[in-house]
Amino acid sequence: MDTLLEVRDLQTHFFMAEGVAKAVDSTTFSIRRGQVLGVVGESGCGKSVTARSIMRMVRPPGHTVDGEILYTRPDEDGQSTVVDLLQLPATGTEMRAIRGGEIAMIFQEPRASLSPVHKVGDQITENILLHQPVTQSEAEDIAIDMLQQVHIPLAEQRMNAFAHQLSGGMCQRVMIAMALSCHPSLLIADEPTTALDVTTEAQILELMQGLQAELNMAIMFITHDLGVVADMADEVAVMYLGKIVERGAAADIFRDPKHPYTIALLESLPRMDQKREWLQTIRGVVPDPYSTLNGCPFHPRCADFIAGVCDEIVPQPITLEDNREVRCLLYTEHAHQESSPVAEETSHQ
Amino acid sequence: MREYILRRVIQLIPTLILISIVSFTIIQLPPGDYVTTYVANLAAAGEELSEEEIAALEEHYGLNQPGYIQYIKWITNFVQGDMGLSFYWDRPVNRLIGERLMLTMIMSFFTLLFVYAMAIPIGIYSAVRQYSLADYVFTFIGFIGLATPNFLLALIFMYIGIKVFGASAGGLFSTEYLDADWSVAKVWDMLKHMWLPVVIVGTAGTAGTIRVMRATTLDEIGRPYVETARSKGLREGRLTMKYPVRVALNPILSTIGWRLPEIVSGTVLVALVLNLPTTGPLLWRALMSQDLYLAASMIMILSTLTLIGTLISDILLAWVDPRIRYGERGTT
Repeated sequence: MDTLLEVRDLQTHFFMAEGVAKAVDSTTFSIRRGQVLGVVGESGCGKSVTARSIMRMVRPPGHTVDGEILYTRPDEDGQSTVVDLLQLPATGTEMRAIRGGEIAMIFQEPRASLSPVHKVGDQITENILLHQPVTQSEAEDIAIDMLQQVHIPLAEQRMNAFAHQLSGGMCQRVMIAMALSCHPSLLIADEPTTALDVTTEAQILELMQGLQAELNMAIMFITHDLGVVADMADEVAVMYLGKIVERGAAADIFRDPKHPYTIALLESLPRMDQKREWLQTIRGVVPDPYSTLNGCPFHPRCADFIAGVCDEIVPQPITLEDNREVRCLLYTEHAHQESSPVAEETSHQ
Repeated sequence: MREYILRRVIQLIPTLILISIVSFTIIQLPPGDYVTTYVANLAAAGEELSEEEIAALEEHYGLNQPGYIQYIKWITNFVQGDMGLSFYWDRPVNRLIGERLMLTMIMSFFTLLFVYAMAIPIGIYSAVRQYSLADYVFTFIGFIGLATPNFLLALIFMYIGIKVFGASAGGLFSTEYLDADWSVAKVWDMLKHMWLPVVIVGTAGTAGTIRVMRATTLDEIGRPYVETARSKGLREGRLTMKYPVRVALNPILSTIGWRLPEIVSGTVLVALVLNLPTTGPLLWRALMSQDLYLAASMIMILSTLTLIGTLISDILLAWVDPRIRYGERGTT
């Protein structure tokens, strides 16, 4: 397995006056070269903070306090070395060379993510000049070429446009052109289509899929929309309150979700093949990040809650068959004390 | 852009006419006129004037004519560059204002430079290192600067000047240069005197501008486009100057024009306390003695500069901010 990025036990906490918010709390996952990982979860579950931790862009009062982010860097001689990004100074030369050059990022609000007072062309060339040994005019040629690759009409004229002159979809295309201008091995896409309408969303997703195949780049695709993930992702990680509660191949997770949270998420999706008056919802809301819940963080909202177990024991990740991992007590021996349909099903296998 | 500027300049004309009428009327509103004030002053000194003498005075100053005639006479001459006669000084307003206006402008220019040179770097630093010790210190000093009236600061400086250095801090020139013709030595002497009023007048402006710069920079630092810039691997310092600071400077640039009237009026109280030969005290005295043409002319100049300043601000803002520059045409 050609691992590109391996995140181990990542912990990023925000030290606020109200207390310590554990935005990312021992998160472990990996991304293979050329693979798309979908990271799913409700708002505030730590998806974006995980992305910014990898980029080393967490701003105070947030701090990555523990963990490893092992990134495999290609050498000049075709070999590769593994660096722990957390060991590099966040604003040092090496990290800045990786950031934007090897790991690029696009964001949720495309128009706000572009500077209001700089031409989009200048913003793209800036990135190219930072990471590639080219002249200004060569960089401009690359930028125009990138704009054409993301299907922006009249690319040459658009170089002189400002963000407010472009539609949201166009701005996201510019962002993608900018992010991919240095051929990164990993693109982190933080809800890149959330702010766009459905038609534009579909176009952008199609564009990203095409470019991903073409450039053989890995994508960490963050979204709260399982439908988007179903289309794109090879693997899925479901996050809840700063922890990954389930991960595995996308097809497996959609066909046979294990964690009650994943099951609930999938049930809350509108489906074409079922006629329902009401959409299924997950009861309750995500607890505030300062709360210190005992046991499993999902237990107050869980449909399969086992009293005396789930509110006392903190579940650890369990590896199931097919390289799947789930963080739920239903799949441990604790569950056998109670009769739970899911637990029984698992024990039969 | 050119069309926009032309349109704005043409729009200035009716506004200016209106302002001239209003400022002339306002000065005439208080009961009596310059002659009444003059007679009252003489009476207080124990000297009585006869009816004929008063009438002759009114005739001399043209005050016996109806107000609108006075206005038309004044404004016709004003447009041609003749601002009339000051009753109090018995000299043409042009000559009276001339040198003071130049000195005021020089002083205000240095004050403006001082304010920006101090406030912009401090504001940026305070925003980037928010809640650091230096930020608290600057904020503390800034609020003291804002809260202390300038004239009080002037008094304190004068007191220190006399007590510690045994020299008067007032005026813009040493006595030997007061009536001398302009020379290199006189300019040098002026510059040596000027730093003190510049610092005093600039303190409040600096404090205010630090707050504005800090707040707008803080506002911009958290914007998504700054994060984009960071995700490219830009150096932090370069990134701050190129993106959030560049945007945060817009409100500062756009208010430069509003400082034009300040440049002319000067800061009256400080100028009075420090005995500065600027326009502030002149306007004050003109208003006190109902010196009609002097006061009206000065207010007219102030209003004109306010309008021109606003226009300059708008043009500057359109120049630096593409969102405004292209705003008229809408998005494509």
